[in-house]
Amino acid sequence: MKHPSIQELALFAGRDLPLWTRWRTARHVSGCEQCQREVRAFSEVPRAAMAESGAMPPGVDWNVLAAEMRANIHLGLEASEAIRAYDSKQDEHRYPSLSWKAAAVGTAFAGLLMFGYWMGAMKKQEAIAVMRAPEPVVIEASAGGVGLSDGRKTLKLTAPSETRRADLVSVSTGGSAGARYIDEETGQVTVNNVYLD
Amino acid sequence: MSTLIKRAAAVVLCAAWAIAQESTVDLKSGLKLNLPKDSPLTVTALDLGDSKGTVRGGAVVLDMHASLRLRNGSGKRVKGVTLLVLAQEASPGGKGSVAVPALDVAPGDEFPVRLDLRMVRPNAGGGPLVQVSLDGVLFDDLTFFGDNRLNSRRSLTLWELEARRDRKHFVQVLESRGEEGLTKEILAAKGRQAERPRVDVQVVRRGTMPRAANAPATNVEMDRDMQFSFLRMPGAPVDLMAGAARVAGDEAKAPHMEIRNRDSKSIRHLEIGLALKDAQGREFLAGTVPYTETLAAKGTALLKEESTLRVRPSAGGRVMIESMAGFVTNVEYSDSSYWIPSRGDLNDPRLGRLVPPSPEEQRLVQLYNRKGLQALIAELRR
Repeated sequence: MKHPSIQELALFAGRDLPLWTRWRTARHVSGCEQCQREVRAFSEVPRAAMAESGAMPPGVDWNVLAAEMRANIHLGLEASEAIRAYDSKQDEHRYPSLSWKAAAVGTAFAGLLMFGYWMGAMKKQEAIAVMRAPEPVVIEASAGGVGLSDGRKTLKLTAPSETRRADLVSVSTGGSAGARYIDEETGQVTVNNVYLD
Repeated sequence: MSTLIKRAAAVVLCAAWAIAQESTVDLKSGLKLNLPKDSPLTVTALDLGDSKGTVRGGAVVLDMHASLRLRNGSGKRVKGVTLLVLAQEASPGGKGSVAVPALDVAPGDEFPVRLDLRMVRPNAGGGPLVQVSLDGVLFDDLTFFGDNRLNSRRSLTLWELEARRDRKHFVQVLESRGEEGLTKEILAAKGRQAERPRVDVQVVRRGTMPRAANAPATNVEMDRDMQFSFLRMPGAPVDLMAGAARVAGDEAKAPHMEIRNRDSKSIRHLEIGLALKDAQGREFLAGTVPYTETLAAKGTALLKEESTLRVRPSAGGRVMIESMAGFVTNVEYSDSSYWIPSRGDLNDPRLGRLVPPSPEEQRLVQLYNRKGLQALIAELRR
């Protein structure tokens, strides 16, 4: 037979167990002498405490003292509640709110600055490219078109549109490159070539 | 809207206007069309579309997307045309062309030609940016009109001969095997076109190829000599005897090969197709190597190039060349007759994959895709 724990018996004696555990413990205690002794012992503790309170120093009333302690505890709880409420209000107003319009304008302006910087860099790159000394001329055929470039000047015959890709590309070691396109609507074939002199 | 917002918006608009300020180039005076007085073709319309020219710092950038309409003013049917595109001071010693093969334009009819180019050049000022002139027109009787500065006569004639070969082939298939046979044949052509590996190719004729962006940063790939194998076409009038190139990674340098004319006619010009196979076993046509000197009847010659050729897959990544093969793609004899591979030569599966389809075959496949079998049959019976 398994006995309830000593904590359970103590709580049972003080009628502090939950309903189901109390019923289960009661069933056990009713048939177990050992546990009945433990319960009886725990039941006597409050009476002993009451007797002890009679031995308090003169002029000290336990009931008055307990009431004061309860009042102090309540005061402490209310004070901490008030401080928490004050802090949360402070958090709300710590950062000033930004309206969506101002946010949109700010974002657009930042975007514009970045775009401007990028455009400036591109222009500078192209200007530097044309000022450089020429490199060997590279002839290229790719899906995007055919071109000649010496790193300084560029000539490229491109695809009819950015979405269109060459159906066939070819190069000749004689110094030319070609790209073939087919118009999907008309079926007309166009062949773009570049030639190195 | 608050005053603050209005002011902020005004500042933004002013900034945008300031950034967008670039001096523009007058495109109408920037493009000059030069057709000779006796030209069989006349320009009936020019649409510059969304073309734009801008001056940025010391550079002029031109993005041209123009469309021309040309009218056939001759008494013959036009089978192909080549326009020469000259961009003064823009091209680093070169020029461009726009060719329209596989045409069949009746006298008096019009046809469009698209002109899409981009150029960057120093802002030297003055003169038209782009000059377009007529390099050549090929008629249905294979006569030619034009300056022929780009050897358009040869390329237009070769395309027309390929077109006749392929039309004849499809007509024969239709007659011998009916609509079902033609469908199978056109679908096979469509499959070959779709399966061709997409590669980008660069060539430098002399000097060192600039370093590729995707080249290994630490490894220096050493050149190694690689021998060619040769793909023989039974009908080809030229034999490839031996050949090699220096190969390093995705580059083939200084290809050279020994060729022999089997024919009793001398040859004015011929081209060798150069096929490369990578480590994954993919094989593709990387380019052609021309021989532009006269090759005597039954004579031999050494074809030698200093150029460097680099290939890379269009989809990205890197090719490591593992083997090379060569085959004859076309021959022009000194008497102005031509040899091109027959459909029988192209029945070899490997050659069928490597030799590019003719513009006419591409056009017929496109017609089948868009309008179906009956439209294709009507076109072949035309």
